[in-house]
Amino acid sequence: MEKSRFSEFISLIKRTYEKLPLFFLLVASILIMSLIGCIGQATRLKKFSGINFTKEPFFAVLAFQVKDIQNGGEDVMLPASVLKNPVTTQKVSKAQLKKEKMALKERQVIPQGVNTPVVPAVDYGVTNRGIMVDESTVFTTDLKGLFAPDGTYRYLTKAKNDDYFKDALFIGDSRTVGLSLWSDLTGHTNFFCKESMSTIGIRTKELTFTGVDGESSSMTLDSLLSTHKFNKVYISLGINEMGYPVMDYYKAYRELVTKIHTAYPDALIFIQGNMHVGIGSSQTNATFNNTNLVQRNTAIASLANGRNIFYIDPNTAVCDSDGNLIAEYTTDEVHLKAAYYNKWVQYLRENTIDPAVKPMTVEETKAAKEAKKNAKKD
Amino acid sequence: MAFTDIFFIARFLPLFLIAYYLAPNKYKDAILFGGSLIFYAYGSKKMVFLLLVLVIANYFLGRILVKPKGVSEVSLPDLMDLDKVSILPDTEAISSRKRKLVLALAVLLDAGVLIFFKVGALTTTTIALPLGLSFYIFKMISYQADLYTGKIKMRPTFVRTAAYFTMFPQIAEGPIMGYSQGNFDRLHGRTYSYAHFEAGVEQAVCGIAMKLLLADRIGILWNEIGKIGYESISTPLAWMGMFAYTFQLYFDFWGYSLIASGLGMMLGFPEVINFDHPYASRSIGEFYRRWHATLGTWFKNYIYFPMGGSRVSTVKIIRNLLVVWAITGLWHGGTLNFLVWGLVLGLIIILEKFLLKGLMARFPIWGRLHVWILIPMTWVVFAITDFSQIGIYFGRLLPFFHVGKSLDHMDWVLYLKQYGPYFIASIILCFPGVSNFVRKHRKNPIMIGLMLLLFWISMFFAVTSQGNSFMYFNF
Repeated sequence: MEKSRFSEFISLIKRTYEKLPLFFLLVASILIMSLIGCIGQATRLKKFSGINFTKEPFFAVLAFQVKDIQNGGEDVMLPASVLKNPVTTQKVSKAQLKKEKMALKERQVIPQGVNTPVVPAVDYGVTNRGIMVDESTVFTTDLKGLFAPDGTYRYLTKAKNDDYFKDALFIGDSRTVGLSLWSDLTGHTNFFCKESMSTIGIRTKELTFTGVDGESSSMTLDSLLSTHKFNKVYISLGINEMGYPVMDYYKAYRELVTKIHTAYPDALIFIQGNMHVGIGSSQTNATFNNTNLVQRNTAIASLANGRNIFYIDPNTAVCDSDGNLIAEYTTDEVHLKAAYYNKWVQYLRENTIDPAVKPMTVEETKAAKEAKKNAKKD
Repeated sequence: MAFTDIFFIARFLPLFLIAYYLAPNKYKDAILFGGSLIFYAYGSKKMVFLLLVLVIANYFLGRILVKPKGVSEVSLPDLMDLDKVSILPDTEAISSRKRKLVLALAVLLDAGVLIFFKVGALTTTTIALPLGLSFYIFKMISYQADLYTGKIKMRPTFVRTAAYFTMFPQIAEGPIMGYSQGNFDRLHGRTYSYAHFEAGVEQAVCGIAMKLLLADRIGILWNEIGKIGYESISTPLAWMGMFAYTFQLYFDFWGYSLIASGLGMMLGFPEVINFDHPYASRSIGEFYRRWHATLGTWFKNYIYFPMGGSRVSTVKIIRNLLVVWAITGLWHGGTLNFLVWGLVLGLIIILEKFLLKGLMARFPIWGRLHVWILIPMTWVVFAITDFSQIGIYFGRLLPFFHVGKSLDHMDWVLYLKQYGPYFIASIILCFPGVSNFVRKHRKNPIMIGLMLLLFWISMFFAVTSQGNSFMYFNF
């Protein structure tokens, strides 16, 4: 009895395959992939168990895993829409906002003129508070170690000409790629950048190095640091990890700056504030908005020690009074149009550090200025 | 819910197919109607009510229009006849003048709603164009006209009419299938066979792959160029961008239409061809018979022919063509660039018809160049709303006008490397021979294996690009 029912079932399968080959194979492969995905997220691929499987099919697990492998083993960021408990957006009260802005001001331990202040932005209340730090957390500069000020400072000044950038390295993401293609600095400085780059990706991925002498190759950061030398390093990373918690970003950034300083102990490191986004994005996108960006910039700004690590914020050159990227300068609200990258370059020219000037205490700096003034008078 | 969304492919469609095929045939239209409402409401909770109101209004107006003579008044025992409630007078007694009035009323209602929302969406920030409005309104107008002329041979029931207007394979972006074209006016109009179903699955899979693996990818280049700013790109890159947009538009819409036709076939409907290898055309006139064919047919049947078509004086023909193309332009979008787009095409078609006929017959390459060079140029006017930006783009295409400045003369090299394969694939797919080959060998296990592979690669992209509002942008 059993055998005939089974053979009937087999012949049904055969008939279905003969009449509907593609449909049959589709259904069969979907079932198989879904089974693998279901078992997977319960066992070896537990990182995907947070997915909402009433909306997402189990085979989605396999797709995300392939993406992880593509990313070189780094966890792919799962979009909030597929998760069971997505982090929810919250509206923020004006009082809370005021508190944050006050906290920003109080932080100014380092004297003015050493770093540029973090450019603020109007909050639109759409941001994803779940990944941001609590407003009671204030990022302050360290008291000890590499990131701690030691009482001596260098002050921002204007570059005499673009030769200043000849021994500089620009590390970054697609915004830096744009800088390397469309600005006055193209061919006049060294670039180490790639689309989609982040503080996480830079640990293991290969970026494109474009040297001032025409060299163009692909290598990891470790490889670059051990084979090339630069006296100034500019960093611009952050826009590609906006979905990750701010604390994680801050820690990874610290790690990156430490690594660069260890490789080039005498170099000047410039932490660039991430460029803001346009008003449309900031008002409607819970991830890509200026509230989120400003908090990240505040976090990394606290790493500046004023003697060999500095914070400069190009947003003053490209944003309006509300802290939004000027609409005329962009099409997609995230990148500058080719013709406007020089606004960024001009800002960089006006906010450099003269390596020939030693770090001095505040009093020494004042005295040096006075001496210079008197020398001029004579 | 779009056809390439994971939720549609993995949740809605399987559940719908199970419900549809478990139900007895006489309930299938009701299930199609119900399922389509759910499909619509998922994307547009508020506007589903507008759709419902228009479905009901058009049904009851249409009842009056049912042609008195030759209507099959056969009782339809194996159909759910929901119109037992007769609140309108007997159609037999309605005069032809009254029928004309009702037709005018129906068309005014339908066109009026469309114009209201199009103007509203343009001028206010509170009014948005409801999903599929431009398409289902055209279906409704065609329905009324076909009832009036007697093209629809059997009196529609409410459920059949509702299923026709709302059917989810066509509600979002067409095709604008006619009521009788979909065999709704036949007692047993559906084709339920293995071969038909399998053919539908094949079409749908091809359409999904076309959209996700070709159109979406090559479209990124057009977005990149926008990011750079049209004033800064080199001339070669401008030409590449123009063709990138051209191919993206073609394979996106053709892909969608294949999925729509495939889904329809999976439900028993006939195949509906919306794109018939337009880029193989020998003139722009021919192009627009093959591009978005159901729209062209709609304009031909319901505007061009009623105005006299080509059976009038030359002046009137020109007038008719310009009217059709002006409306076509505005149907696509309310801003001025769309009107200009439509009129430019109308003018070229008039020139082809009256002035260039002899020339094009003697030198076939002329017509081909119209299709390969002029059509992509018209897509630039279609794609860009701002006229100064259009001007800048043409300035980069034709650099002797000295508009804009290329910031990097070699910018196109990198993009050619990146997008070269997609351009090659696009050009190959423009040859009718390729799709004919695929169709001919669709039973071949290698072809089936290839389609299965393409499906899974498409699913990979569908899953991993979810929630990415900046889908085209990798930062």
